[in-house]
Amino acid sequence: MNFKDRINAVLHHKDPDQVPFAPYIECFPSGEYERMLRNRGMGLVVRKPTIWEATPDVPIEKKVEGELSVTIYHTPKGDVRAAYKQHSGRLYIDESGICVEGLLKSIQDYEPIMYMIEDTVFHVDNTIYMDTVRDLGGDGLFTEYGCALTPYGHTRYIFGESSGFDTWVFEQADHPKEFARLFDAIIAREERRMQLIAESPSEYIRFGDIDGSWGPEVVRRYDLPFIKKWIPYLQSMGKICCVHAHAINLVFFKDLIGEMGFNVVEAFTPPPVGNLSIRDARAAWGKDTIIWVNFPETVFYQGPQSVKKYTQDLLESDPPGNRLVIGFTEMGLWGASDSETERLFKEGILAIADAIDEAGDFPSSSTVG
Amino acid sequence: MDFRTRITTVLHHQNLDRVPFVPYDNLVPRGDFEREMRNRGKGNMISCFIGGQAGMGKAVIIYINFPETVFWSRVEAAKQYTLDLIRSNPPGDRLIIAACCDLNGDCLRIVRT
Repeated sequence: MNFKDRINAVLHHKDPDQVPFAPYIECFPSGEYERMLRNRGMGLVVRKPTIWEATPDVPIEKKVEGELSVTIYHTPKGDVRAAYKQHSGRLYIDESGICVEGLLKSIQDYEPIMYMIEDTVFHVDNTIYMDTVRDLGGDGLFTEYGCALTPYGHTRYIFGESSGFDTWVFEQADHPKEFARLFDAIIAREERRMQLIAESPSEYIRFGDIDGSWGPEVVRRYDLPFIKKWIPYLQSMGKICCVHAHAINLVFFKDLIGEMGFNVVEAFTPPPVGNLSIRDARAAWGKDTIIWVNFPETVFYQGPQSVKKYTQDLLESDPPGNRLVIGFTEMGLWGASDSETERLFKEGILAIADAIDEAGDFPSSSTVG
Repeated sequence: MDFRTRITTVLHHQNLDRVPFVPYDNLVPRGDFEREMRNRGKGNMISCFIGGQAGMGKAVIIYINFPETVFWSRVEAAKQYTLDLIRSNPPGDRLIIAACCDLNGDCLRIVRT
C-alpha cells in the first residue's frame, strides 16, 4: 500500500497494512531528511480551505506600523482594526504573523463586527481541492480546512486568539447580551458555510477543536448543538469528520467527545504531555473511532531508544491497530531550532519510523496468537 | 554527488558529474511525482539567484528555463530536445536545467510524462 491507500483504509474502516505515519506537511519542511522518511512510507497531511470569504461592503485599509501589519476595516457602523507581528521566525512564515491585537477590544467594537459578519459572502474554489489531490498523488491526504473553527471558537479569534484571551473571557461576563448577539450572528454565518462544506468535493473535513482552555460544560453549552446538527449531516453527505483535540486535559472531555460523533479524533496527545491514554480513550469512544496521535515531542529528549520503546508501547496499547494513526500536528521538525534539538528530533522521528516498521503492522503482534 | 554538492560545484566553477536539474520548489508541488523526481536527483531551488545568456562566455552559468511547450510534442521529442540542449553546451559544467513555469493545471499529465 502507498500512503494514500493506507490512510484511506483507516478512514474508511478497512484494514491497512500498517499504522499510517501522517504528520502535517508544515511539520516536515522539504529536504533530504523528509524525503527519506517519505520513501519509508510517511505521508503528508495538507490542510487547505476550499472556501474563502469576503466582506464586499467593508473597505479594508492595510498599513505597516513598525514591525506590525495593521488592517483597518471601515464599516458603516464604525472602524475596527487588527494587528499582526511580522518576521517572527519559522513558525509564522505566512503573511498573517502573530496576532497581537484582535478586532474586538471593547463594547463599541461589537456593532462594526456584527456588520462584517452579516456582510460576509463565501466563495467556493474547488480547484484548490482538485489541484492538491493531484499534486499529492499517493503521498498525502487533503484536509478540508474551510470550517476549522466552531462558532464559539470563532468568537475567540475575533478577540485576537491568545493576545485577546483575557478580554474574551471578561466580555462574556461583563457584556453577556452583546456577546450572545455576536455568537448568534456567527451561528447564522457558519450555517451558510457548513452547507457549502457539505456540497464540496472534499471528503476529509476538519471541524473545530478541543482546546482545553475552557471546560467541557462551555463546549456543551455553545458548540455541542451545532456539532450535533452538522456532523450527522456531513456524514450523510459522505464526509469523514475530525475534531482537532489538542488539549492536554482530555480526561475531562472524553465523555463529551464521545457524544460529538466525530469519525476521527485528531491531535490526540497521549501522556506524558496529555492526560488521557489511548487505552482509556478507546474504551470511551469505541473501536471504530479513529485516534490520530500527535506524537509528544518531549519524549525526544529521552533519546531514540526511549522514543522507540514509547512508540512500540503506544502501538501495542491499541490492538488491532486498524483505527490508529501516528502523526505530528503541533511541532514536528518545526520544533528544532538549533543543531542539538535538530539531532534529537531527527533521531527521535527515525525511531518512530523504526517502531512503526517493527510493531505497526496490521494486525498488531499483540493480537496475533 | 547529491544535489547540493552538484549545484554547489557548478556555481563554484568546479567539475560536476552531470547537469543539475533544478526547478523552483513551488513549481513542483510536494507529492508522489515530486518525490520521484527528487529521488532521481532533482533539487529544489528555494529562490532564484542567478541567470545567464547564451554567448556570454564560459564563466557565466546558463540557467535554463525549460520551455514547457516542448511537452506538447511526443515524450521522445522532449527527451531528444533535452539531450540536444545539453550537448549544445559542452562540456556541460556551467549549465543548469530548471523549470520556471507553473506545472499545475490540466496539462500536468503531459508535463509529468
